[in-house]
Amino acid sequence: MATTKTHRAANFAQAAVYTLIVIAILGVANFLANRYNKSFDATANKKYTLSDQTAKVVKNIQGDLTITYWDRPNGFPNAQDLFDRYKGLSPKVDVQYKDVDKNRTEAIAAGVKNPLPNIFVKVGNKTETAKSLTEEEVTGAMVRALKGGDRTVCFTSGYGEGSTTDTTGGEGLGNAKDLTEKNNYKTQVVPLIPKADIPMDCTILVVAGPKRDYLQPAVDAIKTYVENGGRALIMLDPPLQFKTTIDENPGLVAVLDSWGVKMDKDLVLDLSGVG
Amino acid sequence: MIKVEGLTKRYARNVAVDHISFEVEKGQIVGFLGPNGAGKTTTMRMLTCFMPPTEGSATVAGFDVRENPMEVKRRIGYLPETPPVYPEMEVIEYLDFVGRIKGVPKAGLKSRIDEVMQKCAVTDVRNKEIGKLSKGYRQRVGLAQAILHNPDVLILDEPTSGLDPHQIIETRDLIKGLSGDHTIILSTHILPEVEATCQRVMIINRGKLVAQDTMENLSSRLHGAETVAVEVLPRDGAFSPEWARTVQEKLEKVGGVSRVIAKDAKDARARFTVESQKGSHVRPELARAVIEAGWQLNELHGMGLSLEEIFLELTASKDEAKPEPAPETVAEKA
Amino acid sequence: MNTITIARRELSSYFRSPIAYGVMCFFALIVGFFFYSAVRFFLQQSLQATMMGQSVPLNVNEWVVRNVLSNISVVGLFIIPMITMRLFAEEKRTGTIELLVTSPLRDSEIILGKWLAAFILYLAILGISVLDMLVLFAYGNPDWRPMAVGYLGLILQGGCLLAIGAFISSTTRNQIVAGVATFGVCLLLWVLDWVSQFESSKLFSVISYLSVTSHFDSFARGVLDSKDAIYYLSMIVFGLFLTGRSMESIRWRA
Repeated sequence: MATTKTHRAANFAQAAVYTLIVIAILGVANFLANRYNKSFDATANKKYTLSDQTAKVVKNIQGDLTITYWDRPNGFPNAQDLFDRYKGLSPKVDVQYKDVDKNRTEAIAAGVKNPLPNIFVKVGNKTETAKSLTEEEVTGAMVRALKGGDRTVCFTSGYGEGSTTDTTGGEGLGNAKDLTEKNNYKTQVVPLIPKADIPMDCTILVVAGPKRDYLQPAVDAIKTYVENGGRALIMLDPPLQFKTTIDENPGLVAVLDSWGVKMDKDLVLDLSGVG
Repeated sequence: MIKVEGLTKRYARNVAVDHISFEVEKGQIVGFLGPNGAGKTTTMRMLTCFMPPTEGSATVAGFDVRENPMEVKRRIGYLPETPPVYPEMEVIEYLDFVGRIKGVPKAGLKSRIDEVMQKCAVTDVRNKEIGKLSKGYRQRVGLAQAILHNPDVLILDEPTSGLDPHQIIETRDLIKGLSGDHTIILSTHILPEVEATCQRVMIINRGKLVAQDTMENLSSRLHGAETVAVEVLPRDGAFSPEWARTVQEKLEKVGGVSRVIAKDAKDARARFTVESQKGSHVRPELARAVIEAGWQLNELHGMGLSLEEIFLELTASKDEAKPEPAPETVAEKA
Repeated sequence: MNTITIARRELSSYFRSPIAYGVMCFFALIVGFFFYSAVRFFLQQSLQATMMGQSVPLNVNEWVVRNVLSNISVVGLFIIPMITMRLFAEEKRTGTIELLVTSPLRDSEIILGKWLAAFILYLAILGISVLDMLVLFAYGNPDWRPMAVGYLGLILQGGCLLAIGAFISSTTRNQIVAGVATFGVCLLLWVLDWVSQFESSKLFSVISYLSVTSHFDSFARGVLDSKDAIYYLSMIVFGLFLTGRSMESIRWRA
């Protein structure tokens, strides 16, 4: 006859097995849920959701991505708000929170400087710095690390934009170009006619006050460039008819609108005499 | 209705119920008699599916307690030693709750509750919190809960414990009234209760079923065999062990006597316990034997073998010797 | 159906004992205090911001709602043991568990019924804090959507801790022991979060994942992450499952 001891052991074993099975099932469910997470951001500006651009950039990263955040611990929660979102994009993203006071030697070796916080973004073996705790900066640092190499400022031309050879004041970009090159950036002029093709190795695209409407190919080129991770500085003059005619540029305005930027046709009058 | 075979409950340290087998027919009232800790409650808990048996089987109305516990539970009403009542609930609320969980159809629930409250005489406290009721009332609510769903079988654990004599009689009458419609097992350690209410008795000790019989049979065991106490003095006061032996032999020769046990001699008197065979009336013969021999008969009285003695005998500890005094001779005492 | 019967009985029992009212008062006071502090701070900051020329209004959701909801999630750790401690322990003590176990009820109905009652009580208690939030709507313009997500998180977290508390209650006949043990577990889960929140090693990630409060963070921000919802749901299932095992073992050991 089975003794009580073996009976009890058998019961216990059965319960234990059952429990382990349940743990396994729940474990798998959670693991899958973490991999294939669906996020629903109920805040008004979707402030806790990263933009599609960022998502694209992160997903396309081949190697590992490590973000190191150097600060005092009281800044960690804020950082976590942002970095959790990055972590949610891909399991390849690793975030390290480092206390400046506790890891002094490491901090110095890594080149941590005041003011805090310092944010280092490392892709593969290239490290870039994000200048502030914002999506733009962090993703920007990522993009820069990815690209590496030389940094080029590209100026569009062909539609009456400011010219980089014009060093007179007013509309010329000549001085700006010189300054840029002094800061170790290369410059390049990207003509948008006859064919509009913006090379992706342009670190930033400058649209400096075109006077005529951009044709569709030009608009498309700019859209493609930006949405693939490029950065653009777009300066549009108000469409006044004063000394010169400046077109409204509806194509470009429409693209900007799709990015959430509205172009109001306003004038700023500076009566202080300083400007 | 109830069939139990080799029912066993074993714990790490002890065997609470040791291979008990019995049967209870439909409509009978059966008593479980036994000292505290004998295994009565454990057996009941197995019948009500509160806990599973270690070995053996039990079936109620044809349903096995291990295989079909739901069916068994539907057909049993159980009143544990402490009535399972929620002190903060009112009587009528509580009975409504019980009715629902026992599966009483909602349509007839209210009238059934009224009926049961009347039967158990708790109608006048229907709106009182159970925690505020006296023990007697609480017990009755417990009984009400057990019969509410009109089960085939009632299992009552010490149903009159803590009640005053008046309430005890009422409860016993109530239980008796329920038999016939219901099959009842009730457990108790109060012997008169068994005599008063049950048709059959099962005596349990240390997990084992030591006796099972109908009340009639037990009764005749009671009055069939007789024990008589006899005290004899020598005529001229000269007491001696040899004389005591002579007395013993003389008594043994009386017709119908099965055994004569000598007890301690006290104050120079010979005392004996005489056991007679069933059906014999030995007392007159014993008296005559003593007188004819010229001795003084100091005392002669019958010691009925009460249910108590049967009970005690049957439930004596196995390790102790049976309560049978060894034939001590007077010589040893000297 | 039996589940509902049991849940109803348990609820009526809660509201007849001083516990439910005591807990509600305690909660109202504490959350009221948190709310008051958060609003005061918010108003001060708003005033400062106006004076410095920054954009006003500041986001009331960010400053007040998120803050208060996070605090409520911690208060939950304290009140849930008070709710669950008597669920099973009391029945074992008074003997009414025999009534439940010998009636034609499934274990799952008993467990679910009791958990449901505790859950409803918890919802009622949370409801008190909604009254505070309504004040915000009267005087300002908070966004209700992130708030709703935040409450969803509190509800899920509550359900999860209630299931754990139910399990602990089923392991003992002593209410106080159950209460203290549940409180201990909740505290431990909270502390795990503290300790491992900003660490990134694999071990700490696992520890942090187990912490119940860490999954609330995104809800507090107003983001509904399916992984956190799944976490809470699986913990509810697990807690109730363990309670089921515990009930079975009552039978084996009884």
